[in-house]
Amino acid sequence: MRRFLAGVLLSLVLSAVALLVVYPLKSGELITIPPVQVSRLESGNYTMQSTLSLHIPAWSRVNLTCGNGRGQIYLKNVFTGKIVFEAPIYGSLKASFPVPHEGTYVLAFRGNGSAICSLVVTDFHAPERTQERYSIIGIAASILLAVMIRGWSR
Amino acid sequence: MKGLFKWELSEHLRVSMLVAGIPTLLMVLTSDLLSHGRAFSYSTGGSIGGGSEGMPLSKSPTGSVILSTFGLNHFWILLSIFIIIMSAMIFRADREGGYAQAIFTLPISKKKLFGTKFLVLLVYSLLLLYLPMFLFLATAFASVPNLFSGLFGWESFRHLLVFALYFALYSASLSVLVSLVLPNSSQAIMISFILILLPSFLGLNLPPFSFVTAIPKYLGQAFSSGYVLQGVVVPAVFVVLSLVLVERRDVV
Repeated sequence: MRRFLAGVLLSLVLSAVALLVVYPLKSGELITIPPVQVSRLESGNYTMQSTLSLHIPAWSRVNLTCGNGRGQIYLKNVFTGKIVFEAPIYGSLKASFPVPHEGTYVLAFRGNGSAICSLVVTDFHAPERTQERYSIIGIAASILLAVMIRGWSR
Repeated sequence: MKGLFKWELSEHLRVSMLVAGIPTLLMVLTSDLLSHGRAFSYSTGGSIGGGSEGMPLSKSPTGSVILSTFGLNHFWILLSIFIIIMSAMIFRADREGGYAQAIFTLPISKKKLFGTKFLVLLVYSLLLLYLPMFLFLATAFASVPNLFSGLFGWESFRHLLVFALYFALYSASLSVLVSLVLPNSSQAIMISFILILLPSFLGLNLPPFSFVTAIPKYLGQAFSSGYVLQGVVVPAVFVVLSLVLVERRDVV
């Protein structure tokens, strides 16, 4: 039974190592979003809007290209409500900025405005919370394992 | 009984399979997420007033990425390989290694022996299935607030867990039957591979991979008669057949 528990703990330690390895291996992947029209139009009490929402799986760099636009555009994390990028557009816009957390992001306008935008998401790395989680799992499991093996040899 | 269960659970080859399996499966899930986890939605709509922008996990692209990552074959192929080898080790390699003779002389009925061994197989299969799954969700989606309450409050995700259980039950029980029928553990592993993996490579909608193809689209039908038949009744029949085989035959 002790050997089984030690096996489970060792597999947790190795799982942390596996995550440590897999993010750098996959950092070259990219997500491409074709051009779409994002807009927002307020008239009186009625708002008409088109938004783009996408999942970003890790810490990454977003290359945003917009054309034919006017207004104030922003990219917001839907779950935390944090705005990671905001800029005014007159005509065209090219921007490159980091997104620190994974989650669902929405590209939308503030006030009135519209633009045709496309996105390329590249350069994946493990987000900070993910690194914290797997480090804690790995460290806790290895301490427990060490205690267990020490008790074993006595 | 309890001693036998503990002994079967800590047999070193099985433990080393677990140690190899869990990190590998976790790695496959994370790598699938990063290379295939793509989801975006484009929405157009009008609303009175400002319009709320909050989005529950179940309707967001993140939710559909979680489901579609589990709808990919890689994780399940690897999992079925581990389950097949594990059951050949538990139900066939004991006879080849010779310790089956020692076990079967214990004052325990053959039914209980079979039950204990099958329980050990289930413990291992479910650990190999759910531990990487939840480690993956807990680490790769660590910055999503209230992730687990969102997931467990979402019917599709609960059905995903049920489909995963069907997959494990079907592959475990089929490979147990094959291991008991065939005289040699390598043969048992080969034939189980063919029976479990070949239908999926041929594109036939047969279990256990019919549960995987159901994952993004037909999650709502988890308790429909067809899936319950494939995921609970058929495995139960396999287990009963294996039990009959164990009862009828001598140890080696």
